[in-house]
Amino acid sequence: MYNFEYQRATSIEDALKKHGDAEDARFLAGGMTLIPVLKQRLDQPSDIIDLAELSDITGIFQDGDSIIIKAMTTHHTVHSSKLVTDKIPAQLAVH
Amino acid sequence: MPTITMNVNNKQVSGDVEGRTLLVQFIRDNLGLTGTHVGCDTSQCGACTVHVNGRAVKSCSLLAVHVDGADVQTIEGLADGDTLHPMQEAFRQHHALQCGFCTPGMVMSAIGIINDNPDPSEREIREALEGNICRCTGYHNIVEAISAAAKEMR
Repeated sequence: MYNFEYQRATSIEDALKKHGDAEDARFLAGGMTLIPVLKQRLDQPSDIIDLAELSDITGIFQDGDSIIIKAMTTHHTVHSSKLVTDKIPAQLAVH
Repeated sequence: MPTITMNVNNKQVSGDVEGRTLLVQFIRDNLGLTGTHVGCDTSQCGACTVHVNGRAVKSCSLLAVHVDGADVQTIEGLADGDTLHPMQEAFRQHHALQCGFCTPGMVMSAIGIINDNPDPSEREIREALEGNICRCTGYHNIVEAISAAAKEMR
């Protein structure tokens, strides 16, 4: 993996600012796609902006006819969510 | 170079790492805990599985800085002195390994499976092992061992 500048965002605004200020940044959420791509040297960002501390973009809730799954919610959390499996039983089959 | 601190197998550790240092590199190279294996370069094989804050994860797919401050458990942290963890004992009893290279990751994943689902069916165990590759056993005895350990651990 090529080296990069690691930065940790403290808020969404901070994440956007750090991303904008960097030469060629990528956001790091769970990293399950980004990290394998970096390991293969298929990408060479100048900066990684880690979103790990942005707890306000994690969570699952119902809003009328919709289920809202926020961007930093993990697959595991979605899969084990009672709300999701009650409303979308097919989700149970997609392990 | 960032300094990170973690609790690894109930011991506070710290070290200086590059941004690109993977958790598995920190565990193996900085801490000398070489029970956590690297079996591929593509995040597929699961030999590097450890627990981070109680959840089984592939330590080759996490940056060490990303999990700064976390509680980490590796294969070395399972046994209590000479007494094996029930999952390790079940792997031994059921001969759930041949060459043993994938075994640390298998055991850590297996404990994660039981933590999520204390009474898994054979099919659920096989599905949950999707992220762990074993090239020797054909998985049969691994599944048997996990079923047996699940009973022990309930």
